[in-house]
Amino acid sequence: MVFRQMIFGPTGCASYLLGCTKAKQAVVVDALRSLGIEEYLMEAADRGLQIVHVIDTHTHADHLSAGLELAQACGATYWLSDQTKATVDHQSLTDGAVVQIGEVRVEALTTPGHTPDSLCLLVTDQSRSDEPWFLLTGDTLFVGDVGRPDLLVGDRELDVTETAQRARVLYQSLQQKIFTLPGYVEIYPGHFGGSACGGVNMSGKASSTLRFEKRYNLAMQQDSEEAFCTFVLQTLRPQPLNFQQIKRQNLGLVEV
Amino acid sequence: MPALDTSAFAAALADGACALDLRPAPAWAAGHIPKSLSMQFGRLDVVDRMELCFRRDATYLLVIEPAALGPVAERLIGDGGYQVGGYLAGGMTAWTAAGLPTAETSIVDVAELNAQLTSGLRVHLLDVRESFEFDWLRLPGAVNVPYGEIWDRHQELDAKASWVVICADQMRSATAISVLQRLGFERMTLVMGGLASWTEAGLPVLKAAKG
Repeated sequence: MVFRQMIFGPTGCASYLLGCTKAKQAVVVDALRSLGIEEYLMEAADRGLQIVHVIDTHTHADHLSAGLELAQACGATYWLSDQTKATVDHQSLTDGAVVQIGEVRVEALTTPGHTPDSLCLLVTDQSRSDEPWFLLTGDTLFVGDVGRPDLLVGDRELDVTETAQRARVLYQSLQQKIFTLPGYVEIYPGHFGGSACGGVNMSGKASSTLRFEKRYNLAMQQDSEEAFCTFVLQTLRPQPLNFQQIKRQNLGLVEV
Repeated sequence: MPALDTSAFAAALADGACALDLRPAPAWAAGHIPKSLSMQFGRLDVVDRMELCFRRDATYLLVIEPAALGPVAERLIGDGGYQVGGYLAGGMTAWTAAGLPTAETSIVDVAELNAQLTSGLRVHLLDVRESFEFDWLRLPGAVNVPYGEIWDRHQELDAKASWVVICADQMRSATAISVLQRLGFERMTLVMGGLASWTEAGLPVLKAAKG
């Protein structure tokens, strides 16, 4: 399979291009406006791949998504969680839904917490094994840290849940959906380094394994849901600049 | 340089410009502008591959999908010293919708090719990989003209014959076929998957003796 982690350093954002070399097709996850859609088009063209699916793991707060624009440029399907409040044209991913390109299987796991519409994507390269290989964790789990639950738009209808509840739901998503997967599964997060979408413990290294994070991620060392929530809220960074406006733009509520 | 609509594109072709199709070889084979050259786009080496086999004194009009890559391809190929007259707005979809002529190139997969070869059918097999690749591993009965040498050496090949063209996958074969078609060869078949699929299927090859 083809696997490319495509990063934008200044904001610590990571996006992904996955492809099947036999089917000549690709999926792009969390396309970044800051990289520009040309970058994804070229990355695919270099390998003779056609981008047929574009997925955003959640409504981003710190950067503008290029997901819809990229999908339109390629005639690809644009996928968001079925929990999203986005008004942009898209198809919905339910928990357990599978996007398949050739021998690459991408399974959506709904993992609310950072946002109600957060997804993780479990990837299996069936040319090698029927067991999952890695998990694109979006802003749910980072290397050394977890997603922050406090980036609310300030509109009850759009936010659905408040910060305290989001923190509890995040804990449940991590415990029930993510850390029940095999420990060898690699994780590839939506952010790394100094990103404002996590807390102070986020690593500058943009990959890890579930087992390593279970052992050494400080948020996962907390011995109860309550302790986890307290820890997460005590280790926040300053909020991203202008995030409410960015969220509204990504939701399609205001023109970009 | 602009995105050209279908009529402007067709007019420029009539004026002597050359269509350069940058889509992957399978898409090119399935339907392309007649006499277009095939060269699969890749930002790292497209100009290097063009330099091997395309003249610099022509004006090239680009066909690429998705069309959003048009300006990128134009810039890269222009920076590489080639004259680019624009790219086709809306790609082949627009071209076909406008009712303009297209041509297909016949394809064969390795299983069919093997069946043809073992049935005793006379097959003219042309391998367009580099000669060191050919020396190392080849199909029995194949002749070798590297795709960069086709312009100079096409007289070695019978233009009236029906040719089956192979490379490592299908990119160089498509380029070679597109050049030969411009030179008047008419009966060309592209081996989809090339030597990679052939060896993966465990079909017979001639190998250089290990030194």
